[in-house]
Amino acid sequence: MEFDASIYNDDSVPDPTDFPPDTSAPGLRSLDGSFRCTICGEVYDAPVTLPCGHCFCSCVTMAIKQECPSCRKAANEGHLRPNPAIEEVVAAWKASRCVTIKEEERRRAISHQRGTPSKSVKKRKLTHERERSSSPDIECIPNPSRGPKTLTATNDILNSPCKPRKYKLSKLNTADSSTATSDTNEDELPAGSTDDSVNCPICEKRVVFRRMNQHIDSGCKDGLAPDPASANQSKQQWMKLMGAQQSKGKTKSMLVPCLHDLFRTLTINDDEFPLPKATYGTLKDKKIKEMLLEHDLPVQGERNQWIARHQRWVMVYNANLDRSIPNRKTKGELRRELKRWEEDLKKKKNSVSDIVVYEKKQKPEFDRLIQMARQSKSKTSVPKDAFLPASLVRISSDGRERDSSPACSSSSSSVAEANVIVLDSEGERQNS
Amino acid sequence: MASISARRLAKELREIEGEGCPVGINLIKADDFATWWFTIEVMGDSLYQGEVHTLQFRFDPQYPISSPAVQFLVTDGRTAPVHPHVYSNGHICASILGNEWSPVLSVVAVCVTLQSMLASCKKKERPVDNDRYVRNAPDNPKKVCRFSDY
Repeated sequence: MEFDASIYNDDSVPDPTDFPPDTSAPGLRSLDGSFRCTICGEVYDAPVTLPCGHCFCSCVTMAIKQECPSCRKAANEGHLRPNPAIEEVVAAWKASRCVTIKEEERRRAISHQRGTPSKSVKKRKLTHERERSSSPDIECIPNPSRGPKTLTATNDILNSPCKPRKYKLSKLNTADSSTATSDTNEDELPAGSTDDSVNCPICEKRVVFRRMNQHIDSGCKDGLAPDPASANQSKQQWMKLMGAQQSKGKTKSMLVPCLHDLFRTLTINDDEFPLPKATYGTLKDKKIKEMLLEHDLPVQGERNQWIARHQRWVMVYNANLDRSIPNRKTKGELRRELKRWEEDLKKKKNSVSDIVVYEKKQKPEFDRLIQMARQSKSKTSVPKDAFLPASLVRISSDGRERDSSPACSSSSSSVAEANVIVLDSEGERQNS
Repeated sequence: MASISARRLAKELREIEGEGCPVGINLIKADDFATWWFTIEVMGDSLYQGEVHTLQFRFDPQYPISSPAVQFLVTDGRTAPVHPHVYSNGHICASILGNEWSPVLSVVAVCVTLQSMLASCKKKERPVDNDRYVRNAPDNPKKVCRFSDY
């Protein structure tokens, strides 16, 4: 079984097989798969949930027909509810996906190299050292409940001669691993190594390392005055919590969006409601135009284009409301997308773009065919092909090719059947 | 950006390449995102032991919202299995290919369903209206499904 890679053309489509199978990386591939909509196969965009619990992208609005596409339980578009939890998870996954792939590749590369014994030893040593080096990482976190004991350990390690190397290693560790290490640790260690003082785990004042034991023994009464830098730091941390800070890592900002969202929801006037669907058939041209203008949409083209445009607009507009507020696109963006969609549509559909117009145009031809079918019905003995126009002959001859019975040309077709064939042949032409 | 159908099919194809097809099903042609061919054979005890048939999938740009056109190939010496739901021209009468198509179904899922449809067959025979159907059937089986509802 050979595949032509060019079938995938230029833009690569990321999918779960970017990850190795479960045998070598348990769960990773199915993890990526579980973030994907079962309809379009993309990572959930504006996820919505049905009462049965199944979750889809907003693409489900096109697919839903009185039942859930997954379990066929009764459901309709009105049952769709946004799913902000999944949306958040997916946003985090999108951000970490590349890192995870790279990390996984690195891991595999290392385990490949393990074949040679020297490397194997080195690797084990490295892991071992990391394990040890990770201990200051953990112990250093100022934690009032652990108190003096923690501190002693830290103190001992930092006083020991191998301190610089250890620090370096732990730094390396932080930089290497994709999993987020403690933020506090990152903040604390460099500070400690530069000016030789750390925050007391009990009173949080800056205290010189060597004097930490005395400081705590004295009940936190001596020591340096609260460090202005440290005060500043805590202020910064509050700012972070309130969502003012932006530059730091993704993990942190992912922790606070709830609060962040809450503020935004409170401040932004959330007066956006889903647009109702219109029954265009009952509306006058003028009204449809008005509806387009109401949303600043272009009114060029004909009625059918207006309807298609408005329908699409209602869909993307409502889908956008399924996104949580910070992720929503602006109306301008939606309009640009709509424009692009319309251009794409034009490119694709140059055969029959407008069925209604096409039907009107071809009506005389249809009538003629129906007339002929009626005639052939009344004179069943006459060979059908004699009366049929080219398109019809093509279909019937196709049918005969596959049919082994020689009696196929004896026409028993009713008017209804003949009609079916006529419509079919038109349909086929549209598709081809 | 590639259309939704092309992206979805690209993902399905990658999955087939990566994880392979279920037993008895093999992809033999997928040069584009319009037509794919599979060979299908029923494993184990069944009326169709030793038979290998070729399934053709045709996709339109609305896939997976609209169902693929699925049929057995009956050209170049290939045959359609003799089954109460399979016409001699290769067309298949299966609910999931018509009204009950769901966009969460995939190409492989359809293959497996058809495989089990064959496996569960009790008696090898053609549909009762085979001749009449084949005489009037259009090339694309999906066209029939639409109008047989009348």
